Amino acid sequence: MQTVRRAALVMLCSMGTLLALPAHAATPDISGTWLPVESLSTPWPDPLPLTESARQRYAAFDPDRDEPAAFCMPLGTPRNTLAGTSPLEVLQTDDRVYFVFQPNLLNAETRRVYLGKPLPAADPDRLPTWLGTSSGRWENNALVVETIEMEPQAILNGNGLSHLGGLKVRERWELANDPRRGRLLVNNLVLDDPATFTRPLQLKRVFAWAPDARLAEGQCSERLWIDQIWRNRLREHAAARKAGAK
Amino acid sequence: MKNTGLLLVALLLAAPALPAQHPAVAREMAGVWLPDSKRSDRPPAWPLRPEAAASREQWLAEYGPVDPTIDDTNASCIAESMPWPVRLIAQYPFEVLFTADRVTVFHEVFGSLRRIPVGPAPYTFDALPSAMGTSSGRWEGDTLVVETRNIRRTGAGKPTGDVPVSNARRITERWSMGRDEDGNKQLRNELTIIDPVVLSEPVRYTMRYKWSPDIAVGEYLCQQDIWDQNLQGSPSSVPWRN
Repeated sequence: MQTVRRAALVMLCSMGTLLALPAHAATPDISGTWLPVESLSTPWPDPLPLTESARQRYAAFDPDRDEPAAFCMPLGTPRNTLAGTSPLEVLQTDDRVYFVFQPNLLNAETRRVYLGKPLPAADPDRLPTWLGTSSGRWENNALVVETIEMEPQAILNGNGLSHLGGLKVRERWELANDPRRGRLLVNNLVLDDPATFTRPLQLKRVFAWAPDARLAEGQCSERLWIDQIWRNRLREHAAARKAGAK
Repeated sequence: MKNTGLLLVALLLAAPALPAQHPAVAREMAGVWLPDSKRSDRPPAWPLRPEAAASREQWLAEYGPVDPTIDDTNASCIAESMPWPVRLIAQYPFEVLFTADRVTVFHEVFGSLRRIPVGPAPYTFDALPSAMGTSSGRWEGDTLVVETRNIRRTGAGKPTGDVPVSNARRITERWSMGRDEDGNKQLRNELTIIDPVVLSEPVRYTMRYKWSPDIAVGEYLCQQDIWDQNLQGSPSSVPWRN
């Protein structure tokens, strides 16, 4: 009787699996909002393993001229994943995972990772994009993401580390647990670009589960607008009004 | 063992993919859409209350004339507020993504992003006003009803003499699936805009969108021109950057 009951339960479990969750019963759920944990993440190595040309580019970086974020351009991949203190939002379905970043109230950047859809074949006519082209797959409990064709104008960190367009980023996103911080989302990245690095660069970025965190709307252009024109316009009007009152 | 098995069964059977959603309609609605400009209504004239019309005139008298080369927020890449991205007929795609208890709409134009929690519990509108506002959604039959409030007022940051927006403005959208006269899949959005401070009556119109599975929502790099000019060492042609 015990055996029959057990067999029935196994059958029910199998049916449940087939009916309710056909393709992703074992897929980890990494959706939700996460906050970066600087102390658990790997900083950029010092010194950086740079090629000579990359070293020259790095030394020539002028933050007043070469910082795209100062012009409300995207941080781009992988800087959006590696920088900032703002929450990360992960949206997950059976066939895709979207990573939404809103670093420091810059405009939102959504990295779209399509699962099981291979990266496109190289095409010199296709322009790179700031967020790159990504493909992902679940390997055991890790989401493995490969990204190519990232815009070289998107620097890799705030110090102006740059690449020339041949950068490939491999990531492994995995859930983990920390006794103090609880649920973690760990991203182990490898930045591979022989034109920039003398060896593939390994970095780790850790996020802590933060269900109450919210991403605010980007306000980058507004900040520029208010700083550059609106404040001046108000001053002009105030001056004109004062002059008229005299 | 027995308990573990029962727990597994319970967990598996109690975990449908989209518990708060309407899976059949959500499957149809999910994806990339383009405005169907020929089949969409144009917003009617705004029935302004006399006080709102007077306030607008006063504002223009005090701060006008509007100089579009300086005052147009579009030129400065400031995202337009709701309902602008959904009533736009220019061919900018948007993507609708359904997850367990939320609808997320990714608009290409300005990269605007709408987060619409869907579920039986009423959503509290406790966020600061924003261009996309704060939304909540619910299913009424096959229709997704979305209420949006906390829409950013345009007066403070947008001196173009447009129709004012009050803090009381709320927008109801009724999203549903249909077919156009050629039999193509169509997404419909019946909008009702209520603003008791500004409008003497609700404004209603219907937008329609074309199913566009071959189009991707692209990167909207509004500041690209200024960035390129900067890289080329040229002074910006946008006045406020000089």
